[in-house]
Amino acid sequence: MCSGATVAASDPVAKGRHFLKLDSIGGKANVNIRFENVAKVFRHDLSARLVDFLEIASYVFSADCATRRGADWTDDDSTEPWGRDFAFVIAVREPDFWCTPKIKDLIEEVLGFLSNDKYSFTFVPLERDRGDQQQYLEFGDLRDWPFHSPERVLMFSGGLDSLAGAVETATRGDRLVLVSHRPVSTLDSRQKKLFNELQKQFPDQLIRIPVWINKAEAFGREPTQRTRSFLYSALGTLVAQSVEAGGVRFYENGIVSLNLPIAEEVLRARASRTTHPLGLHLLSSLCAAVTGHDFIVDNPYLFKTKTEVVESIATHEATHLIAHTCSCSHSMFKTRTQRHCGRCSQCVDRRFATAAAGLLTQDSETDYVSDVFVGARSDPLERAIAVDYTRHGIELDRRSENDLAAIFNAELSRAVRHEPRPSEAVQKIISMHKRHGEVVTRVLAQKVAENSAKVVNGTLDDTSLLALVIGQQYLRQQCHLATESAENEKEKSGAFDPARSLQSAAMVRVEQTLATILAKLEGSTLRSAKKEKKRKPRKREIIIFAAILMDLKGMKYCSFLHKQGIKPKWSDSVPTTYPTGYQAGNPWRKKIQDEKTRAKQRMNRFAESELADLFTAHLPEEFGELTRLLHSRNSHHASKNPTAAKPHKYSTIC
Amino acid sequence: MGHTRLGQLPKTRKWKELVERIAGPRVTGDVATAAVYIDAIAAQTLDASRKALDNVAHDSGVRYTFYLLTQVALAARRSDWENALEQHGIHLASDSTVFDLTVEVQGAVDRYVSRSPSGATDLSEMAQQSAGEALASLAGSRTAGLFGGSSADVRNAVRSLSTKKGFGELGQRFFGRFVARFLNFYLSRVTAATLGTPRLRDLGDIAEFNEALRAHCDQSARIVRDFCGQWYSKTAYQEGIDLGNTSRFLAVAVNKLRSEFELQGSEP
Repeated sequence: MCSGATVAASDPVAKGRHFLKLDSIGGKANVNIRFENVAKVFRHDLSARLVDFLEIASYVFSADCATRRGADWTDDDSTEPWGRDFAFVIAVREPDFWCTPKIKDLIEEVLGFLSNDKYSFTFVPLERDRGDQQQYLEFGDLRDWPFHSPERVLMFSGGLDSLAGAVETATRGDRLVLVSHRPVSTLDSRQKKLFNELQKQFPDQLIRIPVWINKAEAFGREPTQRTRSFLYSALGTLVAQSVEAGGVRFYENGIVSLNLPIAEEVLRARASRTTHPLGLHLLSSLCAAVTGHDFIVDNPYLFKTKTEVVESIATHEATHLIAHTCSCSHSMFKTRTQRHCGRCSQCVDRRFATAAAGLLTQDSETDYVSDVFVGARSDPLERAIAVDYTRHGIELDRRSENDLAAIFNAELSRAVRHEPRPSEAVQKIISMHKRHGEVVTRVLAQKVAENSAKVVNGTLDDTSLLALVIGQQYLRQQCHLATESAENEKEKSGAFDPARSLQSAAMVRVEQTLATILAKLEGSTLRSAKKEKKRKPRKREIIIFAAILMDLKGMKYCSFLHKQGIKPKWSDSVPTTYPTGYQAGNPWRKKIQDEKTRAKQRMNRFAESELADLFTAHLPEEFGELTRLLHSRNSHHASKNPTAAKPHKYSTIC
Repeated sequence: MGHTRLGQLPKTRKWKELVERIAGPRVTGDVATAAVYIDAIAAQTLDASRKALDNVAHDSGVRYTFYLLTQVALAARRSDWENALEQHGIHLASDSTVFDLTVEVQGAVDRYVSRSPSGATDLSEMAQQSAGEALASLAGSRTAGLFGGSSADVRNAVRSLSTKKGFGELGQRFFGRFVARFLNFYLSRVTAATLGTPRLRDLGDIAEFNEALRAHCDQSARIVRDFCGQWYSKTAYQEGIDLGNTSRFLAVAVNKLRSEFELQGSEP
């Protein structure tokens, strides 16, 4: 219940729900929204509908952050708790507008997509407004202001991507209105510092509008925060409308924007959809409805990788600004001297990109609490992030375009749903993912080569990214064996140099291991190994093959198996023989039929001569008949009249 | 931005036993990789997640996704196949490709699940992913590629999947991919977090494990291939395929799959 709205306990909307009161108005506010700066800068009041929009977004975001996603998954038979069910009752200034079914549906749709939660909204008239609304005075004509009517306002997070976007736009000579969300003071001071540096390079071209929004600390803390782009869009719309801009722009590389799942467990919004193309399309529709005119929320970096974004910063001669950016997902990061934890997915992604772009000196390792490649990862989830990120990247590199389009079909389809030519757009997206995969593979190989001596000596932390990927613990044992053997050989020949021998043998071993790992990630080694493998049938399978070949069905089939001493393999103790199972009906008949179907499929993999050999060993008495049947197998199948077959009833035939 | 949320398995006996099996014994020396035990691991995972799999036939998203696969296949039998698809909200232009068809199919499923009372679920998402993969890989291999050709080429490709045999193949691919995704929804939490243990020594072992799981699921799904084709052919002819009989079919198919995995897992 928000902004002082109330609801009767007997109201259906209240049934079975946990109540949370959120208020951003008055002295007891627990959601802090300070957009005075916006009004001050632009010197006029904000429309009631826009203030409503920002408050709605702030309440949604606060509730999202305050409500855990059911961390206790204790029942081994249930599915993982993920989605939540929210019902908001919000007091607003324009209830007629917000109660329109189209608007409510749009809000619910966009939030459902971004967060996988269920939402319902009830809007009631606001009884007490914020007092500061009328404090601003109209000054002059906004149209004379140099920052008036830009194409878009830019959402400025202080990371590499938004920096690259700002630099690129400013280099073109455009003026920029940057909008920042300030949840905590540490993040704000970093953003401010970066902005100041940016202003030095592009004086008089930039203005930054910080907006404070945070909730009381007493509420719980859910770290996923999937509704944040809803809040950012509301913030951006507020500012864009004030300066009469055509929309809101996010700068986010396409890999993160699509955020394809790095592992099978990462279903739906477990991979955030903050700037997902479908999410931005829905937000555009909502913001256009709120403002009452065409309004675009877009992302020009949809087809660029992170590395390409970083390279763009270099192209525009702004690499000195990289050191002032922050990509780490831990926004509450406490240390004053370092900005990056080095363990979260954003830190991993950033480090791979700066390494690939050859800009590691600008992205100093001292800014990382733990080195991304060789630092320890004590938390299993941190290890999993590093492992999954690397494996996913290499697989993107190694798989074909068609494979990627099939494997990620659902995600890619959503990304291009509103593109005029989906096939062309998706090819560009896949091509970008393959470039990203190539970067991951290349940087990994480079880092492994740089650290191969440490890998061999076992001096890397066993929980570090490189040690995990290359299997340091096991590689060390193999290398010692290899070098001992080399030492023995060379000692005999009298040409032994212990240090060089150890080093070179180890390097070769590390290189070979990496090559094997990459090949396995391509799947080629396994597939070729599988082709060679054809297990020899066991006796029971051979007997079943024979029964199939003799066209035995029903009780005759079961009696034949029983006569040959074959017992059913089902785990239940009764019935103990095939004939008694058949007589007992389902589910036993179905099991017998399923087994027969499997055997039939398997039998087709064997050549006539192979089967004949098998029958000789196990069914000498029936060998003559079986050989004759084998010879006529093809013609027998071909001569069967398909129209004569009775309708198949899967559960009773065998 | 760009967060990925990874989770952990329940801390119950069955799941702990599974983790132990994958991680392997705490000894040094030669130990077979986890991929070697894929049959047993898959069966053990299905056992631990038994109730979740039971929900498949009752999940409106899964049901509609499979139902839509049957309708796309049946539409390809008709000369006015674009009109037939329109009835399900699938719009194809004359130059549409196989990938365009999958975009439309995914859109239709998204619209359906967003309107359903239960909304999208993890199972419905797995079904969508698997249906898209099955359709793209099989129809794509029957045309010039996923991104080329015309609506007529797409229709010809899908028509080859609309026969009893063709739909059996489509069904096998769907169920194979679905069960692989279902199992790896749980197993991927273990493999990444236990990397460095005797049975998962390096990243290559995880890749090998995933590939073995995929192959095992594809192979095991052969058990429903003929069943799929026969059900589709017979039901379409006799009574017409609807959501009700699709649901009943899914319940039986899942049981068959489960029995097959149990059997494979119990073999020495």
